[in-house]
Formats: sequence, structure tokens, C-alpha cells
Amino acid sequence: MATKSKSIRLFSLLAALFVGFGIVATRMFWLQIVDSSRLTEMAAAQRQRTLIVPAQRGSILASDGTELAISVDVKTVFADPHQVTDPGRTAEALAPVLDLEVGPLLEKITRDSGFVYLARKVDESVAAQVAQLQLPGIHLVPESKRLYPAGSLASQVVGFVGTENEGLGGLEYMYDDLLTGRDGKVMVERDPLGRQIPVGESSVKEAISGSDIILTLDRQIQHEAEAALERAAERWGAGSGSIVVMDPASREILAMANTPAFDPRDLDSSDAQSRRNRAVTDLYEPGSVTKVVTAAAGLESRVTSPAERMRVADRLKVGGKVFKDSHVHPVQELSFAEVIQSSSNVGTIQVAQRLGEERLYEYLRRFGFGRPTGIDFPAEASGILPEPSQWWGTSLGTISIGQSFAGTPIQVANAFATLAAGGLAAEPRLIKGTVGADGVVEAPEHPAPQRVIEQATARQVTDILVGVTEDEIGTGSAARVPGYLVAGKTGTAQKASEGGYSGYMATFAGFAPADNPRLVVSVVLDDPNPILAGQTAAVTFQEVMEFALRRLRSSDAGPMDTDSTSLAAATR
Amino acid sequence: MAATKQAAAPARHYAPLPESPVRVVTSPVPAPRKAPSQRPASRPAARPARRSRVLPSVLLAGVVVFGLVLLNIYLAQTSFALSEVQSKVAEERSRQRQLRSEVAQAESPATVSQMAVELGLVVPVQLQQLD
Repeated sequence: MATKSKSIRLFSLLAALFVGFGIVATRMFWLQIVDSSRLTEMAAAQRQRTLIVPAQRGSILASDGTELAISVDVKTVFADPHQVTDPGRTAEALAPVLDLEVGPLLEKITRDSGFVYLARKVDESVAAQVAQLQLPGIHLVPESKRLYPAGSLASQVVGFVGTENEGLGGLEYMYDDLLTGRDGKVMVERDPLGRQIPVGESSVKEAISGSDIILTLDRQIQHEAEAALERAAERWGAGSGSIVVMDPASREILAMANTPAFDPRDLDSSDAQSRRNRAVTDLYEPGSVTKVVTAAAGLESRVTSPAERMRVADRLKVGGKVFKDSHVHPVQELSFAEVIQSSSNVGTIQVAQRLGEERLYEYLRRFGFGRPTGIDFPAEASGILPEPSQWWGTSLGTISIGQSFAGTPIQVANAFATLAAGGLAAEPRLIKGTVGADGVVEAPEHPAPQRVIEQATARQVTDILVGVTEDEIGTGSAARVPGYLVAGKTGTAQKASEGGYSGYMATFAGFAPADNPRLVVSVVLDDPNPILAGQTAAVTFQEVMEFALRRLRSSDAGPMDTDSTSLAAATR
Repeated sequence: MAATKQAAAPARHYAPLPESPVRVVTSPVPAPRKAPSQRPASRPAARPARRSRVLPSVLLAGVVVFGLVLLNIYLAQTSFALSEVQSKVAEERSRQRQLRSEVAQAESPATVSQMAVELGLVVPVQLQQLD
């Protein structure tokens, strides 16, 4: 009996143990096999932290490697309202430091939220003061801030970024992807106190910094161009204006200035008008500077020659419209060179009539009008140059003297650069190169220059344009630069407005030294007083050209631009 | 019968333990009752050998554990030091960029020309070319 009872107890114990182990085994199977991946993820989520390492935005540099735009680390102040223990005292303590009102601050830190921005991208001193307060629920987080050390210098070219450092204008916008780089990731295991577990799992995916962009802009010439524009606006009341300074051989733009300007450090107080790079985006009727193309077309097509004697009246009827010269004069006998130098509308139209619509259109296209120049800048205007089939009876007359079609200041500058380069057309360029994360400088590729007129023709036109500044009959004597021969052309054109014309656009474009062109300068002033380009734009041209030539001479004496290697080193 | 069993028992079980002569000779009651008291008598001979193996093992284990703890501490310290250095490098990089920005600002033509004016420098009215 006792043995049987003992056996039952043993059996029961064995069964209980078996069931118990069975439960444990089943649970183990469930945890280890069935639910393994979910639990692994849960465990990993508890101890692993993945941090995003933001890539440093690349810098934008002037041609000498000096920063025009650079990103630095700053702090942003935020609150976790759930952790704020004394909202009133916190708001009162923070308000004077952050330069904010107590009321709005109190409203923010009492919200039913776990995260509220209080002040973004504050100065180092402000961040230090906030940290010193040691307020519960008030935290600092690092962020990147875009700085523009040169202020408004070349601001329309460089552009600007938004709060999240996204490019919104200029080259900041155009090369946003290149500048932004690629964010990295760091995965680490942390203990309950948030410290990294030394022998825990970790993985790092390095952030790739954005590339730096080296511009062709020369800071000194850019500054002088901007200062000259400001003086022009002040002297003659020009509402706006643009200056382009270019090396005709390389087509590198050494300066691209616009007025009114803006300071990207104070974006809120600027308007959209001042942020526009007018030299590239704004259309206007260039006026008599277009006569340079008409002259080149006439000489290249052999329908005239510089010395040809022409009888020129002060008015001419074309397509039912009477075209007049700028002043009343009796019928004159002028050489074709003098026709251009004195900017005679009548004489120029007479040559255009020999050319015909098709040929005039063809040469305007060759010199880059009616299509984008290809400059590496966003939102370039292509201009308006209708095909000959759409021309009216008066179009030959108007277009040959630079009216009834529209171009941009950069198109005008590039057309003169084509002439200065002996008839070779090419794309203007603002980007000298980019420096990637590996420090290697890469120069952008551009199409090879195209010959659009013979070198001899370019030489003939250049000689004529030297007369514009040097000869008594010329309209651009104010553009003379002591010690240099300047080839240039004035242009005073009516300004198109809604329903007709109102005001004038004054242009002077030219290059120097005429016998070995090093620089092209184009000045456009919107509605100056006096209206004549020879008295306004030519003066500004002279100031900028003289400075730029002096700068070029000084740079010839010593290294102005560093080579690629040292540039790369300087930017890293 | 019982006496026979009791007498036979020591002969069968304890014959191999003559090294305890005192107990064999003086004990009035032989056999099973004495057996338990005789077992410890055989242990002193085995003790020195076991102690000689256990002690070094314990010491070795202790050294290993201590070494692992030290290694862990060292790794932790290195990790924290590395983390601090990395943080310092990042701070210095940031500072360098800040300084570059300040240098660029100080070098900007607008700043330089303003300083030049403040120092009384003027733009020459007339320029002369020397060659």
C-alpha cells in the first residue's frame, strides 16, 4: 500500500516536472524561434540609438579661396514642456537672454507637447547663457548656420538659404545638391543612463560633406563694381543697374554686380527685387550697343567696309516709320566707321538694309542674342529675338539699332567678349571649380569656343570701337582709361513698359586694352538722369575698367589666384 | 549469528585500513558503528593533494576575473576618452570654421575700405602710369 502511494507521488512529481519543463520549453521555443525577431528588435530599440550626423554644407569661395558663404555650428534652444517644472520662472529667466517677450515664451513652454523651438541658431554667447541657467526642460541642440562673411558682396550671385539650410536663391539654389552633401549615421549601444557601452555594437556611416564651389569672381573687382553702381545710382538717380566684368579669353566672370543689393545676413529686411541677379535674369532693349553686331555682320558679309563713304541724313523712312538720329543734322558724308562711332541710327539702318533680315538675324544669334548664354546660373533669361518670319516692316530698322528685341546684360557683355576674343563665341562662366570631400578640384566642362566671325573682321570692328572713345566724333570719350586704348560702344535705348515706352536704359560695353583685350566691362543703368549713356554708363565703365586693369596689373606682378592644390588645401 | 556477522564485517570492509591500529585494537564494538568514524581517518592523506589543485585554480580564476574587470575598465576609459577626443575635434573644427568666417569678414573689401577711410586714406585723384 505504502509502495503504491509512493509510486503515485513519484509519478505525480515526475508529471509535474514534465509539465513544468514542457511549459518552459514551449515558452523558450516561442521566445527563441517564433517571436525571436520581434523581441530582438525590441531589445535593440531599447539599447541602440541611431544618430543622424548632418553633412556639412560646402562653402562658396571667391577666386582667391576666401569664403563668401560658409556653414558653422551653432545652437538652437528648445523646450520639453513636460519637463518644465516652473513655467513662470523659466519664461522670466529666458526672455531677456533670448530677447523675447515673456508672454509668448510662457505660451510655448506650457504647450502640451514634448518639443517646442524657442530660438533657432542663436549666438555662442546666448547659448552659453542659456546653458548656465540650467533650467529644467530647456535644452540646446547643435545646428548648422550659413554665414556670409562678405555681407552683401556678390549677394545676388551667391544667393541665400532657408532656415533648414536649403538653397533658395542664386548659386546656393542652383548647386544645392552639390553643396548639401550626404548625411551620415551612427548606431551605438547605450546604457540606461545614456552612456555608450564600450564593447557594445556600433556602426558608423560617415557623413559626406558637401563640395566647396570656387567662383571666378575677384573680390576686389566685385567690390569696386558694386561701389561704382552705388555711386551711379546716387549721382544720376538710376533706379537699378548691373555691371559685368569678364575675361574675354577664358570667359570667366570677374565681377557681376547689381543694384539695389541685399545683405543675406539680414534676409528678412530685403525684398525680392533686390535679391534678383539682374545681369542674368532681366531683359531690356540694349539699344545702340547692338550696332556692333550690325557692323560686324556688314563687314563680315562685305556689304560695307570701315572706310566706305556714306551719305547719311538725320532721318530715314523704313516700313512706314521714320527713324531719326539722336540729333538734327544736315545730310553728312561719313565713313561707315564714323557712322558707328557717332552712333548714327540712319547710317546703321542703311547697312542693315543691305544685309537683309535673315542675315541680321543670323549674326545676332551668332553673337548670342535670343538664347541663353549657358552661364552656370539659375533662371537665365533667353531674351526675345523673333525669327525673321515674324518681323514687321519696321523690324529691320528697329532691331539693327537695338530696339524691338530684348537681351540681358550678360548677353551684351558676352557679345563684346566674342568680339574681344577675335570672333570666338563661348559660354561665360561663374564656376572655376568644385572641391569634393576628397579635396580634388574639378573644373566644369564647357563646349569649345565657336568662331562666328573672322578675326580680321573682329579687328576691324575693334578699330572702329576704339574711335568711339578716342575720336572726337565718338560718343564714349568718358570711357577713356589713361594709358590704355579702350574699344567700346554707348547705347541709350527707350525702356519698354506696359503699353509703350517710358524712360531710358543707358549702356556702355567695351574692352581694354583694345590691342590685347584682357577685360570686358558692361554697364547698364536704368533710367539715369541725364539719359545719355555717354554721360552716365560710360563714366561708370571708366571707373570700373580703370580699377580692374590696375588690379590685373598688380595681380600680374604677383600670384593673385592660387593653384588648384593650394586652393583645395585652403578650403579643407 | 549476529556476532559472527559483526565480527566478519570489519574483516570484510575495514581490512584495508590497518593504518588505524588504535581504533581497531581498543574498540570493544567492532564493525558498522565504527565504520563512520573510521572514514574521516582516511581523509588526511588525501587533503594535501586536493588543496594543492584547488588553490591555484581559485587563484587563477580570481586573476582572470580581475584581469577581465581591469580590461573592461580600461576599455570603458578608452571609450570615454575617445568619445571626449572626438567631441573635442568636432568642437575645434567648428571653431576653425567660425574663425575662418571671422577672417573672411575682416578681409572683405567692404571692411578693409571702411577701415582705410577711417584711417584717413584717400583714393588718388590722378593716376600716373609708370611704364
